[in-house]
Amino acid sequence: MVGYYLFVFSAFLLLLAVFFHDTSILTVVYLLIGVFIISRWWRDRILAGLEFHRRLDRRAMLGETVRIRLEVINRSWLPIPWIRIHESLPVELAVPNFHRQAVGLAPRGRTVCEYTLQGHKRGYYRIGPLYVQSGDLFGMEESRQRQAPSDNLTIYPKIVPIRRLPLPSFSPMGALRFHQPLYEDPSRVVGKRDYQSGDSLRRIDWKASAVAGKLQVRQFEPAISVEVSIFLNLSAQDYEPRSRIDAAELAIVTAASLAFYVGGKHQPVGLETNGMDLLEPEQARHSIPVRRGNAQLMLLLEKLARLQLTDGTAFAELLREREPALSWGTTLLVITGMPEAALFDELLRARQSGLPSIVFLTAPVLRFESFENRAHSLGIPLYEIRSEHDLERMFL
Amino acid sequence: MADERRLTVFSLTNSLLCSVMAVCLAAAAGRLIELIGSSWLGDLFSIRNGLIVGFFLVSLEVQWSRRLMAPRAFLSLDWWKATVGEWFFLLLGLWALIWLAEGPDFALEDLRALSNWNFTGLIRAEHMAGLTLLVLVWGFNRYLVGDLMPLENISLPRSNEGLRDTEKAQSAARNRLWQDVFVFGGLMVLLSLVGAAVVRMIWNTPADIGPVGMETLVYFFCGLGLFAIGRLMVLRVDWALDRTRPDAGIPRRWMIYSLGFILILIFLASALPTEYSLNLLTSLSLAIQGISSILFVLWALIVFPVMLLVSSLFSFLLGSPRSTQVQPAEKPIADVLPALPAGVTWVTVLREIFFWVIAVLVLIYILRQLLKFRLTILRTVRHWAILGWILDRLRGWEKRLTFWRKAVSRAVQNSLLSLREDFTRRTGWEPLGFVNLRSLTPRQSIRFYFFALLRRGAERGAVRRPAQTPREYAAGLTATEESIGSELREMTLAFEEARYTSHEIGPDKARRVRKVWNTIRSKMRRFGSKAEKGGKGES
Repeated sequence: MVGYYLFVFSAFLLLLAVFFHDTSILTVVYLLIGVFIISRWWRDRILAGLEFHRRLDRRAMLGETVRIRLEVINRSWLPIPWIRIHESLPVELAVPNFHRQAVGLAPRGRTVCEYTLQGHKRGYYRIGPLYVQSGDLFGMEESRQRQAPSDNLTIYPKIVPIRRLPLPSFSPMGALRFHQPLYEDPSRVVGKRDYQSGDSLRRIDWKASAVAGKLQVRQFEPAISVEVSIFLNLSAQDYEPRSRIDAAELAIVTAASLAFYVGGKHQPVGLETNGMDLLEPEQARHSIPVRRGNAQLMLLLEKLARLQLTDGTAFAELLREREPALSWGTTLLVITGMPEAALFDELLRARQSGLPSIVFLTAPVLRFESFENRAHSLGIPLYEIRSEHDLERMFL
Repeated sequence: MADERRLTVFSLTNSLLCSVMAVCLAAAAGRLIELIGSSWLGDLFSIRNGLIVGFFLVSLEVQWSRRLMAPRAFLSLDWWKATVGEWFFLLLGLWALIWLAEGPDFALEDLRALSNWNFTGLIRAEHMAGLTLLVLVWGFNRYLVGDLMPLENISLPRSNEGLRDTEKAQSAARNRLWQDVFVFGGLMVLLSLVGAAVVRMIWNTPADIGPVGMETLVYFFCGLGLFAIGRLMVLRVDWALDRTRPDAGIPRRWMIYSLGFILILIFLASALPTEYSLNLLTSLSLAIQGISSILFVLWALIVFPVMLLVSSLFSFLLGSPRSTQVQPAEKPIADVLPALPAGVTWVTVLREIFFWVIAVLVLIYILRQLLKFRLTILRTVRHWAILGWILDRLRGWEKRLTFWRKAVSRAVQNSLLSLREDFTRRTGWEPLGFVNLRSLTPRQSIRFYFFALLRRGAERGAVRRPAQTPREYAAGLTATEESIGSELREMTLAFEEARYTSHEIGPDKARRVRKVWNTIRSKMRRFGSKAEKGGKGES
């Protein structure tokens, strides 16, 4: 509107100049029109020449402080009197849920805006988009806005330290010691002894026998491989409505803690879930095949960070569907809210196919004893976890 | 605290600017007064410089005392007390100034007359003119104070409600300030121009007030300065309201950029031509004549060779006819251009056209804005049969013109493309196409550098086979160029990322690859030249 006044006034002066044949006013007319035109031109160029770089660690542990560095670069030779930066932030990590700053930039200058986020809650968050607003020196026209892309930040779920978890496994040749000599690992020689009748000829250590002057056989350390697949139930109907949110969060924390425990033992671990991944919301089931290594652990934790409750696939159905893809001896760590009868049937079938399982209940369940008896009768360990503290205490 | 200090500086700057504006206004008014009573005001204007300094000081006094006057309600007893006191000193100052310049012409008889309630001694011409100007300066400053006070809320309220009220008051004050500056500026120009005409009409004397340039320019320079500072004040409240943290350097930059911007504009405005002697229609007709003449010359240049060719062909086939008529002498091309009025050159015409283009554009813009803001006018106008019909026709023509323009540009583009393709197909020459690295996206830049590497490698004998993957090629090249192994690896990885991924690639990456490419190139050149020297030595 101010620009409009300016032009009306310029027109008035122009008419005066024409009417009175006084051309000296034209200098003022040029000045006023120049203010309007050059201000507009300048304002449009300001946003075109701006560049933004957001630097942040895209992954953080729960409770960690994430520092975000926003670099604003003016690539143009025109100075920037002011720009207003508005960065949208997730409300779970920052209060207020934005960072706003006004800065000015010299020609080809740069400035850095810094702020921090607190990783209070696990999740997959969008940082941004960044809105930049600018205008002219006189406020003649409405300010212009430009949007810059957003980034993502993953806050891993809480990991409760687990010291010891009895994991049933029948997979030989693994990395964990085992008490039964059935699963001896030929790569783990623990000593030698005299040959006894019945020993396999392949066990004879010929060099040691030559030194000792009598036949010596190698003794191997028994070892098992604990392949673990975590089955996480995030179907909303399997959690009691009142405690749904907390119980589902506890289920995710349990899954992350178990994955960390198994991964920490350098054992292969995978994940199967019916939750909703924020990156692939249309997909009903998510599967991470059983692998070992830090990269796999990171993958699992990232997936767990992104998962949400959903009204998706029935959990027993998921179990039935994924079971054939698992190798023999894989231990199933089943984390759920409500142990249905169908679930026990599936677990029994899995056990019969050589897949032992442990069940973790993270929601308060009525008549827990009856479920416990049922699980006991099927030879399936069942743990009821009410809190993170329980998780820590139970597996000390 | 630093923020407060800076804002106080802005407030003082506002005062200075207002004072200068008041002086400009007084100078313009003074010239008018001088014109009206040049005989009886001659004395006053002999102290003109002193008056200007005096008015400047008065303005400063009014501006700096505005915070003291602010709590006093307008026309209240307190206000009257303060104002009367202020005026007492102002009048004393004025008389002191007059007496300093001319000596104490206020004689004892005048004092005696005053005691008899005879004020003729006071109503001397110079006193009255000085008083008039003083009232003008004082009034102008007091008037602007009303705009500046809400605009300069130095200590911001802490509550949101308070901030919102301040923002509203500021926006209103800023709009008022714009209007006031324009109104007073317009008045200044109008007084100067109309004043001369009125004097001419009433006294029937030739009166020339001279150009209104300098003080008007200074007035608007200061006015723009006020707008710039006012804008920062408004933004400051906006930012406080929506919890935006302002950078400490903004006020300083604001000051510098505003000053620079306005100075550049003044320079440009002063540099542009202002002398015009032709009216709109003459300029328009000359412009049309000029354009038609140029078109005619162009047409002649195209058609003349064809005509010559055809006539030669006919004369060759039919035999040359014996010419019986005397051919008229060819007119030189310069004569084709229209004749100009006496004393007018084509440069003048161009300047005139420039002027009228600006003038017409300004008027069109204003009309457009007016219609945009007053939609009711547009709606009413559309209901009028004749105007509605004209508007419809205009809209139709606009659509048709747009369609033709697009069709023509499409046809030209297609023709150029087909000509280029045809040329390439026939000659096998690629059209000269230079890649502008600045215009490439980071992804394209990375690919460009990798292709440059392939070309450089091929020059050195390592030609990439079509089946080779980038990594295979890099491995092959590393075998011959061991010194650039790590750079090749980095470049290959960057190329793979640029070629086979879809995520965003930043300009940093492209810059890094450019550096790597420069290293590769320099190393290749260095080792290549060494190898050549070594080779020559051995042979």
